[in-house]
Amino acid sequence: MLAVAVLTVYPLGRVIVRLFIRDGHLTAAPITSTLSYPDLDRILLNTFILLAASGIAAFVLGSAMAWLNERTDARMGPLTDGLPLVPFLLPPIAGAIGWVMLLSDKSGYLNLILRKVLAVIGVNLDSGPLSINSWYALIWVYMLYMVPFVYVIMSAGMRNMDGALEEQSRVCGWGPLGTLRNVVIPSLRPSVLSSIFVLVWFGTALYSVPAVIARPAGIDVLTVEIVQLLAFTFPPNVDSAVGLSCIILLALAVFWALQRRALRSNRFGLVTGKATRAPRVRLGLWKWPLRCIFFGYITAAVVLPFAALLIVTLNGYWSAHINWGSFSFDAFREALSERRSVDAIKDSVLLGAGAATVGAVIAAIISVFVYGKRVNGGSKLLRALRWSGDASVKLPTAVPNVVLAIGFILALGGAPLYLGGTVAILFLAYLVLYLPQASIASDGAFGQIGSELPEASRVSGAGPGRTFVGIYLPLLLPGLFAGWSLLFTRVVSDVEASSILAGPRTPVAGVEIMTIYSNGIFSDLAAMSVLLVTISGATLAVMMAISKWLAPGRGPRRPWRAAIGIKGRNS
Amino acid sequence: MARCHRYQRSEQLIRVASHSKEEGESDVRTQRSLTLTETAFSRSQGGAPPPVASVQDLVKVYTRGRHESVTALNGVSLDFPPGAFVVLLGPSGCGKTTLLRSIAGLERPDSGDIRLRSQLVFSASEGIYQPPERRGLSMMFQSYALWPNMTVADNVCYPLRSRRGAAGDGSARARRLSRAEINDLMRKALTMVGIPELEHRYPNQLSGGQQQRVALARAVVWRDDIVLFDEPLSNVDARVRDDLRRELAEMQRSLGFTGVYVTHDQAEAMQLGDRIVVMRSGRIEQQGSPRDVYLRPRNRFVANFVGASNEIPGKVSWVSPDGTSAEVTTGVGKIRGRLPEGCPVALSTEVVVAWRPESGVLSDAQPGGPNMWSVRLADPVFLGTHTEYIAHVGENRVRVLQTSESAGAPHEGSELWLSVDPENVSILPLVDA
Repeated sequence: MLAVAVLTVYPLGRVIVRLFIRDGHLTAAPITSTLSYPDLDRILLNTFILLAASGIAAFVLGSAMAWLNERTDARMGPLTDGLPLVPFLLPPIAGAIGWVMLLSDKSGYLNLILRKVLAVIGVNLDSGPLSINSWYALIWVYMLYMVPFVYVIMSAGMRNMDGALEEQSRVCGWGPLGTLRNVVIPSLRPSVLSSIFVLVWFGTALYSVPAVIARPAGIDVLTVEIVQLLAFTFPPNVDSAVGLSCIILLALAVFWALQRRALRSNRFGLVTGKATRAPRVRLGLWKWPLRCIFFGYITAAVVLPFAALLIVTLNGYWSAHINWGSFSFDAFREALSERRSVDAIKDSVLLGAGAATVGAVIAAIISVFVYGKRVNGGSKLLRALRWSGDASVKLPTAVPNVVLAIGFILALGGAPLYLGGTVAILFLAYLVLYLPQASIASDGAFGQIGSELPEASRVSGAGPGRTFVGIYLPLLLPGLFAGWSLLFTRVVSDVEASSILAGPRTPVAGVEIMTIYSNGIFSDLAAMSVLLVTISGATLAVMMAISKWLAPGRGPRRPWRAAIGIKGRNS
Repeated sequence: MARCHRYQRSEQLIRVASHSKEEGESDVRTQRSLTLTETAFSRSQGGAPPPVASVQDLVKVYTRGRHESVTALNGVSLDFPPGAFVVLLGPSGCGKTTLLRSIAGLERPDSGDIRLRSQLVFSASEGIYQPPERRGLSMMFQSYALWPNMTVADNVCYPLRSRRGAAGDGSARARRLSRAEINDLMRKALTMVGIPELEHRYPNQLSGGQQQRVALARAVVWRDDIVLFDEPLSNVDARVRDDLRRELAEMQRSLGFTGVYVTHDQAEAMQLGDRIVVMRSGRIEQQGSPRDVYLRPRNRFVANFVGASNEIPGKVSWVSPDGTSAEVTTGVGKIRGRLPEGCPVALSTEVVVAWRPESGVLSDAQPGGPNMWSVRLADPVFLGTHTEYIAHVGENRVRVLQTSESAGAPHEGSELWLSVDPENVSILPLVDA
């Protein structure tokens, strides 16, 4: 566990140190080169506008959907509960490409349909009316991928809020709106603040979407700039890349401090330990119209982009005319005739499986330390281990992938290990970056077990070994499988870290897709994307089936919900 | 309501019993003054079977954060005689659960010894710690703690499958049980708790009461001679709780195990325990039979925790030569009462006289004897079997509990005489030691 902590903290430290020290000498070069970076103010302003606009939209939509699902009768079981799985099902890289194919000026499928509709009312256009190379399209796709984060955090907050607080307010004479203003929103403030933090983190870290959409539109965004400086500049401009990364870190630190400050007053002790059934608002006639928000979101985030990718793949080319009759799988064959592509997919799957397996085991061990032992007592070593386990899990959730990837290059890429461009550095980076995903899952699973079940086993005469095999393992497995597959899909579809860390001899799926995109071979691009989505989707489906089979209606309840991070207190 | 019945009954019993007990009590007093520690129930001298479990000088301190620490056990010593049903009673945070968990081996005290069947299973000084699975006892948890991944049958069989030769009853079960034996014991246990038909269900398909029964079956299936109960009835509703309590008491009598039962509910403690140990802040405040604890509280905490109590402050003005009773001068005249055993008081000590609401006797005519006042009754509250009144004795408001009879129940505002038998009045230190 100490090793994992070192792997997390050390690269980050290297990034910050690199800002002031180069080759062992104190230098101001990174700072000056960053501050004199061409168009720095424009890049920052772009990034800010992008994050603010998409963040606010995502926050409103995500909170509304969370409220509908947790507190009203609009909930639709697995469909609405599974909403946070969207980014796993259709990774941002595939979603972005799908939306390119939907909204492209000339041959975007959505534009085709819109033009046909407009032709009916007499408006004839050659291109448009919408364009992918635009601010609104960029904000739109960002928002689609931000919504699940807000949804998860706000759902957890609403779920853990004691329903009696609202009922008390209603009894005291406040209407639903007054209650919302006086009770609900204040007690959800911690969730709101952490949503904002996560949105900033996610927004500043996202590379695939702006690389696909913003760059062609001429909108320069911070992450794209950083990756360009490192991966597409020769020699790599480390000074500026480090400087720009530190701007992101600084922004995150400020938000983090604000969040802490706001929470310090600690007047949010409104969450009770009792499992209370929150009253669900009856929506009546509004139920179905409001449910359409969910359908709309899932259509926009998954169905439409995937359909576009599928049509292009099956068509074998991308044009304004869909030749329904000549659908074939040739595009797959063509895409896979490239040795590089096959290698990339193979590498990614192997790396994903490896990192997911090791990550799930490490996450389970960390959970054992956190939950298995009483908090007090223990030797100094044990406490150090616990602390390091905690740090190694928490830190990556606050540091953007791109920044950590730079750290890995600085820490491991050069002397003495020279791991740059190897499978090893990719593996380690994936492990550290996505460990939190597995950790949330295994913590969720552990949290559901509690302390009395294993204790009852010990008192019944079973030693630690038998207790682990007989009690812990069967109860943890569904959650661990869920965590495994989430980690796996994250790694397989990673673009952020891979763009910086992968070398010519280590092709991985995400980088390969970006390469094909810049070459403009859309049938290959679509085929690769569909393959990626199929691998992620199939893995999720298989793992869900396995964890369901492991706990057929009798194991821990809803291992997947817990794995995503929505967990009831006393579930 | 059930409680009221009980009070009344025990009150009658104590009146008959009180005189014949005096000898035994003086024995206890001398013993206590010799040992100075709370070596519990060893009222009998010689020939008594050794305790099935005993703890000595247990101390457990939890640290919360850097500076805050909570003393859960502060030098607790206690013996558990074979076949007894001992109830650990106290408010939350008094250390009762910590004591139970220490006996089970789920908690390691900071100092002290724990013996089970005369064998040292924990000793802080000697560095002995036997893990829970080797202590050969059963436990019923507050949250049922049924494993959701196993059927009812598997849950109940679990202790049978894991143990070998650790049978607590002394019989040599050194071999593993055969499958048939295990199933047989499991069915017997399920039948005993009245749910033989639920064998193949999973815990989440059962009601709360049914889950509780499964947990009970699991606790008694191995026939351990010690069964620990950690507030097992606090999660089920009142009716089910009442049934289970009764069945539990019957089961304990028929199986003959030593029960250790943690609760904060004094009615439950009275109903189940033949020994009650009242705890506060990691210390034992008093231990004894339910009747002793209820009618002979040793201090104001016990008096108020195990039931309602009327209190009037005053100063000791006379002590009987044998030190068992005394007279207290109060604002409403002299009140005579009993001194708790082993608590001698000096003259002029500030004390409190206390008695239970049901010990007050109302009469129309002035009764003879001490401890009587003319009162006016107010605020009657009908409680079913009983009716409670407030009587003003001087400036003190005291509660009086009378049986509810269709005829002859006093009305609000009646002027009556209230008297309390000095036998039922406890003279307690003003400040608890």
